[in-house]
Amino acid sequence: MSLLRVDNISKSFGGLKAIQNVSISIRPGEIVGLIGPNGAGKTTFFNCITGIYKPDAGTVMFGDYEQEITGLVSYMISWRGMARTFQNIRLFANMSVLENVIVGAHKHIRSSLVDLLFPSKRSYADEMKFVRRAHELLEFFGIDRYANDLASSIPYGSQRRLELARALACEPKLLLLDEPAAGMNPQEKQDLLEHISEIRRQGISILIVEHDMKVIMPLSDKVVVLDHGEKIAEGRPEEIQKNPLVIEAYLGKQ
Amino acid sequence: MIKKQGLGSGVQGPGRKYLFFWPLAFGLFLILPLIDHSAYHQDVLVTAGIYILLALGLNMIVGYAGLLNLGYAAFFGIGAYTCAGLNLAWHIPFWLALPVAVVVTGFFGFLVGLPVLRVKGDYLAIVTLGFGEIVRIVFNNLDPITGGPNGLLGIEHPVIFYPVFNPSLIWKRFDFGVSSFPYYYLVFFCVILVAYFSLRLDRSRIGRAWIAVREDEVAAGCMGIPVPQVKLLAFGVGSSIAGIAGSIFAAKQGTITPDSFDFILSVMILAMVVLGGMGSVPGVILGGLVLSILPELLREFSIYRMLIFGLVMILMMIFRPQGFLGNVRRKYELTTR
Ligand SMILES: Nc1ncnc2c1ncn2[C@@H]1O[C@H](COP(=O)(O)OP(=O)(O)OP(=O)(O)O)[C@@H](O)[C@H]1O
Ligand SMILES: [Mg+2]
Repeated sequence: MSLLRVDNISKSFGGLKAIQNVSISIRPGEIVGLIGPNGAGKTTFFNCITGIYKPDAGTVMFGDYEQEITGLVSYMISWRGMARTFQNIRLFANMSVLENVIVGAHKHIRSSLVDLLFPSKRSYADEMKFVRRAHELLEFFGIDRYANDLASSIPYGSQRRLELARALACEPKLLLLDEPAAGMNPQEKQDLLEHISEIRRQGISILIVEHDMKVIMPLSDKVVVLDHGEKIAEGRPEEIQKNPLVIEAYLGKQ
Repeated sequence: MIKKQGLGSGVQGPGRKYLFFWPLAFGLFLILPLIDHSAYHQDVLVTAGIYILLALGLNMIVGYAGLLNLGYAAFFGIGAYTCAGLNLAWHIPFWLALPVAVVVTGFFGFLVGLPVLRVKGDYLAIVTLGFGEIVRIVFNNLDPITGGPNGLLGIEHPVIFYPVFNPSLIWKRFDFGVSSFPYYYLVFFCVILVAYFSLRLDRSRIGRAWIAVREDEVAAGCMGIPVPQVKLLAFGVGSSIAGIAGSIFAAKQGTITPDSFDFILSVMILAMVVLGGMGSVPGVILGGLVLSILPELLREFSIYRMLIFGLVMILMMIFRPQGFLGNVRRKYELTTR
């Protein structure tokens, strides 16, 4: 039983085969690392799974009953329980930090246009529940003091954490992280490791793209390696580190 | 520690110092026609109020949801023609025609939204511009229904009944007639209502979804915001506000013609939103007020009027691109850069 099962998906841009016949599966509660040199197709793979791109071929199955989600638009996939962060931060720049997180909870808040004209106790209480939840998430990442600042005005490392908090507000089953440690200092990376472990303890599966092996190796139960759009290896972290194909992909042929 | 605070108290900006200003402005405009009996002044303010309603509606589409719309005058026209048509064909009184016009206008906004979902940015501007022109041409040529270039004449003014004890209860009839005074309060009330609705939207799930789509459509989709539905809703709700403005306009004028709803008006309303500050309710109200009163003040410069007007707009965009009162969140960005 897997939470996510991707079978032979491919995606080309014009003549460029960004990913070719890539398959991977993630079991509930698992952390899977996805690595590969620059331009290997990792981000494209994420975009195909989250509905930003439609894969040219292959299938994506997701959820407790392995329902097919290939080609669904991104909000539908999000509703099934998949959330993500972006390699080049994509926060809602002109919204406050708190509002960014609350947007993540959009689907869970019940309020209609009628509630706007005639405010009710119920809709207020509902809204406050999510305001509190958002503060909790910000506290978890240690950025609650920025709650009322503009998202674009907070330090870079905190923006990365805010993306994580926003994704968690969607209450996902699977979290996709695209280079969450990029641009972080060693201390911030250490904190990130702890945060990711804690997220997993709450039962959320994670697929993580990261260049820093000090992040990938201790976290991952399994590592998948992409090179030039193709999967060249898959296995436990220590196996991957010794795999000659992987070493060649990173260092070039000797 | 979890802070107990609503979203409204959330974002703070330099504008906070001037909060006392709004109750003052409210009080002033509430009593103004009682002090200033000039029919001309009242008339200018009623027109300004109608423009402010339009600007507030367009602000939901352009300011909140970030969807450029260059054909907004068409919705104003649809509202006016619906209200007028219902009144002329079936003698439906203003108070019943108004909500119908709001729904009809909202529905048309929704319809225009459908093809618009597939286009973005500049293309969206062209599509809405095209729609605006089509609507005006239809008004001009669908003679049996719209009266063609002569428009619709003889629209009834609103009538209300109020109780008097003299000594027993009788209902007195009050016709709004042609004087601007009663319309002033009608428009005033509608502006307050729509402004309140806009402010509530800004801090609600729906308004947040609009703003998120404006800020980053891809990220919004990945956070579970149904982007197409949210855009359609913005088009529908934003357009329906033009239905209110159109109905009041028709009822006050008693006559409507297609050329009242031309492209220049669409541009003027957009200018009010941009000049006031996209996404900021107080800003948009101020923008509407300034842009409707300024041309009147410049009347004495006669032929130079539009020149000065244009110059003011250009200078404004150079020296204060975020508008008079840019959205508080936006303002923050500009001060921290
Ligand atoms: N929208 C697009 N249009 C055209 N080519 C694209 C597009 N997106 C990605 N590519 C190309 O596809 C290939 C894979 O890119 P991708 O961003 O998926 O790599 P990556 O593994 O994420 O790299 P990095 O480690 O630098 O983030 C690259 O050659 C890239 O130029
Ligand atoms: Mg990438």
